[in-house]
Amino acid sequence: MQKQTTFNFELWRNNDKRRWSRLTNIESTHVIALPTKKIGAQTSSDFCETNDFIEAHVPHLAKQLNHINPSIDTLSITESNPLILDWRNKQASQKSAGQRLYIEAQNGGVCDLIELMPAHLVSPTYRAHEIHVRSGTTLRHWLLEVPNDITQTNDTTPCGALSFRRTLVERNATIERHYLGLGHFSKNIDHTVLTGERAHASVKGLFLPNRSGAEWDIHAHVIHDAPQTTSDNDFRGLASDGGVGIWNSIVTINKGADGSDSKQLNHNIILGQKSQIHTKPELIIFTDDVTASHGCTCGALDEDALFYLRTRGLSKEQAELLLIEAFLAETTPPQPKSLDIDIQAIVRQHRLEHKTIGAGA
Amino acid sequence: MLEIKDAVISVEDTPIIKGLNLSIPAGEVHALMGPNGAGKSTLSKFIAGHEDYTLESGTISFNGEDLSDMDIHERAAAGLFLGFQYPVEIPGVANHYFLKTAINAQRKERGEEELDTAAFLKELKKEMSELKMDPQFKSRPVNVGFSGGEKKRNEILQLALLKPKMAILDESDSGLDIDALQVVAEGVNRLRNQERSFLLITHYQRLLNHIKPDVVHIFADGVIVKSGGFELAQQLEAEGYKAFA
Ligand SMILES: Nc1ncnc2c1ncn2[C@@H]1O[C@H](COP(=O)(O)OP(=O)(O)OP(=O)(O)O)[C@@H](O)[C@H]1O
Ligand SMILES: [Mg+2]
Repeated sequence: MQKQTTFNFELWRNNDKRRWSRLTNIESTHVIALPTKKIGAQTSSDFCETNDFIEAHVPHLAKQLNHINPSIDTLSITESNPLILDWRNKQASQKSAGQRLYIEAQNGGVCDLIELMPAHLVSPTYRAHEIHVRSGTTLRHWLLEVPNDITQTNDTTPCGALSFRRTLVERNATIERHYLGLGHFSKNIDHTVLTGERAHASVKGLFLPNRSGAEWDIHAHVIHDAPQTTSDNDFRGLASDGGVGIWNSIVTINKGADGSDSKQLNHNIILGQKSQIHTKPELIIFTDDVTASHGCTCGALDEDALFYLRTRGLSKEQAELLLIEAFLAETTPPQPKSLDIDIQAIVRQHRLEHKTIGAGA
Repeated sequence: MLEIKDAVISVEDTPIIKGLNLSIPAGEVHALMGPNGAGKSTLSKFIAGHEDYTLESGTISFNGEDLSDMDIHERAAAGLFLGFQYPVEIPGVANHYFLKTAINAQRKERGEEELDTAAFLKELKKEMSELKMDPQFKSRPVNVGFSGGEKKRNEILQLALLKPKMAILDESDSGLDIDALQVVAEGVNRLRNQERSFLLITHYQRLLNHIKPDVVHIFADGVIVKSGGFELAQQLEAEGYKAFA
C-alpha cells in the first residue's frame, strides 16, 4: 500500500496583512531587497484569487478543491498522482505575476511536486514559495523550465522570473529538488533549513543559458540546524553563445549540528567567447564534527577526448555533441513517472538551439 | 600505402620531426623504435591529423591521396587507425555506444550501409572474447578507470572492429603483462594480411618476437637513423641507442 501524503495548500491574497513568511522570521523586505530591478518585477500587484489560481494551474484538482476552505486546502498526493503546478498558462501567468504559495507535505511517505514554468516570459514574474516538509516525509520537487512557443517579436524585451523558495525540513524528512534551467532570465534563491535530526536536502540541477542576454542564476543556501543532517548540492552548467550562468552554493552548519555532512559540486562547460559561468561555493561551519566537500570546474570540451573520438571516425561536430550529451546525461533531472513531458527530449531540443555547438566555434 | 617524404613537423614553431622519409607498402609491418622524446608519438598523432602539429615542408600521402587535405575523421574513414600510447578516458559514454557510433560514422562517410545493432553486438561479443575481455567492458564508460593494460586491450578491440587499412600502434605493448602481450600480438597477427599495413611503435624487442616485422626503423631526434630487418631490434636490445648515434 502506498502511503497517502497530504499537502496543505495555502495561497495568500495580495492584501493579506500577515507577514509573508509564516515559517521564519524573515521579513518580506528581505525579499523585496533582492535585485528585482533588472527583471522589473511588479511585486504581487495583481495576484489572483485562490480559486482562479487552482483552476488556472491545477485544473485536474479544481473539483476536489471546490468544497474546501479556499485559503487552506488539503490535497492528497502520492507518487502516482503528483501535484503538478503548471505556470505556463498564459493568462494565469500574467495574473500571477506575483505568486505567494505555502505548501506543507506531511504524513510520511514520498510525494511529488512538479512545477512547470515557461522558459520565456511575457511579463515579469515574482514567486515567493514556502514549503514545509514534515517529519518522515520525502518531497521530490521538480522545477522545470519548459520551452513555450511565445514568438519573440523585436519589441518584446525578454522578461525574467525571480523565485524565492524557503523550505523547512523536519526530522527524518527529505527534500529532493531537481532544477532544469532553460529560462531566458531566471534568478532562483533557494533557502533550506534542516530543522530536525537526519533531515536531508538534495538540490540538483542543470542550467543551459544559450544566448546573449540569457542569465540563469541559482543561489542555494542550506542551513544545517540539527545533528546528522545531510545536504547535497550538485549542479551542471553549459553556457554558450553569450549565455551566463551563476551558481552560488552556501552551506551553514550551525552549532549543535554535529555529524552533519555536506557536498557541493558544480561542473561547467563554457562554449563561445562571451559565455560565462560564475561559480562560488561557500561553507560556514560553527561545529567541528562535520564532513564537508566541494569541487567546481569550468572549461571547454576536453581537447584530448575530442581528438580521440575524431580519430575513430566521428566528425568534429559529432564528437562535440557526444561529449556534451555525456556531460548533460549525468545531471539531467530524472523523469517523474507521471509527467507526460519528456525531460531528456527537452534538453536535447534546447541543446540544438546552442548555435556554437557543432558549428565549429 | 603510407608515403612520407622529407617531412618537417613542428609544434608551436619548434621542429620535432626534422626531415623524415618513411614508406610503408601495403601488407607490410614496420617497427619504429627510438628513445623517449624522439618524436614517435608526435609523428603518429600528426599522421592521424592532430591540429597541434604543422607540416612545415615535405609531403605525406595515404593510398596516393594527400593527407594534408583530409580532416581527422576523413583519414579514419579512409582506413587510418591510431592506437594511442595513452588512450583517453571519456566519462558518460558507454564503450559499446562509442564503438558503434565510430563504426557507423566511418561507414556513413564511405557511403556504406550502417551496421544494425544486432549485427554490431554479435561482432562485438566475438571480438571481445577473442581478446579475452570481460563483458563488463562493453557497458563501462570508455576507458574510465580501466587499468593500463585494459586500456591497451580496448585499443586493440577498436582496431579489430574498425578493420583499418593501416594501423599505427603507439606502444600498444607497454603496460601489458606477459599473457596480455600474447593476446594483443595474436590480435594483431590475426588482422595481418596482404593489404593491411602496420606501424608498430615500441621500445622493446619483446613485442617483435610475437609480431615479426618486415622492416625495423631506428628513430632518433626527429629522423630515421637506420632501417633494416629484425636484427636491428636485436642489436638495439644488446647495445642500446649509442650503437646508432
Ligand atoms: N603539444 C606539444 N607541445 C610542446 N611540446 C611537445 C608537444 N608534443 C610533443 N612535444 C615535444 O616533442 C618531443 C617528442 O615527444 P613525443 O611524445 O613525440 O616523444 P616519443 O618519441 O613518443 O617519446 P616516448 O617514447 O617517451 O613516448 C618531446 O620533447 C615533447 O616534449
Ligand atoms: Mg610516445
